[in-house]
Amino acid sequence: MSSRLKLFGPLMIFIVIAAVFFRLETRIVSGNYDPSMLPSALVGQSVPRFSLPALTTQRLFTNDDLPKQAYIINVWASWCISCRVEHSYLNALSERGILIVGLNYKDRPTDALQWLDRLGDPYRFNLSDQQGKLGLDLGVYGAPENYIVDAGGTIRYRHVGILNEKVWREKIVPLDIAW
Amino acid sequence: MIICKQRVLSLTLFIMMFLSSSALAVSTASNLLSFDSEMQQQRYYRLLNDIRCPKCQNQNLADSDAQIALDLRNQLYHLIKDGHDDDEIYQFMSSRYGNFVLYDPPLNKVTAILWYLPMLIFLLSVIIIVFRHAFNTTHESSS
Repeated sequence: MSSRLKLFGPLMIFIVIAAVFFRLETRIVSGNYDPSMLPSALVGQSVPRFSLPALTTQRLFTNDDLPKQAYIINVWASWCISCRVEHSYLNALSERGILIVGLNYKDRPTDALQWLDRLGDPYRFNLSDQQGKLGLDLGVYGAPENYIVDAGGTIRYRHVGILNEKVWREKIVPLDIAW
Repeated sequence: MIICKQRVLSLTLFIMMFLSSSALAVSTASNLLSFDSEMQQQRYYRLLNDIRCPKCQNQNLADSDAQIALDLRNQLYHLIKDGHDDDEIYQFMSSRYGNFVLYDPPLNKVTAILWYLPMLIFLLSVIIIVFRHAFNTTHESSS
């Protein structure tokens, strides 16, 4: 390499690094990449054992009460603002015939029931996890979170954050689950 | 003389504030958690610093104020009280939150690049330097 061309070396390195960061930034802005999102340690495994009261009845629910077909576990709480944003989409999903099991996470049951009264109830049933025990076993670190479980009871995907049409189309449809 | 008095007053006030705040910290720390032994307590504090909070991702469990960090601190306390060893505790955390929460993650397909890339770069640079050196010396001897 001639010594004159060598002078452009630092510029080249700068351009490459700038391109990498620019691409990362555009992916973050467009919502395709979130560096704070953690992959779930439970993908490919079954739902952890639990025994929790339902929101509406005092009877203890266990894994045997979970649906035998594919469903979504939606982690939500009345104190969670993003859950409010998400809720209308859950109502729409439920109208499309998709089963949703709610995990009411660290919430007051009265607040949760009031929320369902006012905003609609898309859930097959709701587990009331006031201590966050099942939440901890699932690896929940914020609400809303959604676990996609197939008919065999295996967790196929975990989405941290608001579930919407874009996420459904890009992340959940490719899983090819029979709903 | 008046100035001197004021100084003494503010100094005692400062000392009192300092003493009261440290006394408070000690009392809350011992009231909340009781351990069976000094060693258990030390393990608790060591593990708090060894496990990352999944929510506030640049903080460990001791630092973070996130709700989930509080839950995990509680969980850690009970795991230690129940007699689980360090490996079991790391396993408990990583099976739920992934290897991300460990500050010292195991060597696997994802982390291999962290260990082997520097070695690879080092080897490559050695090879390049040796080759260039050899090239230069042969060049000089032929000319």
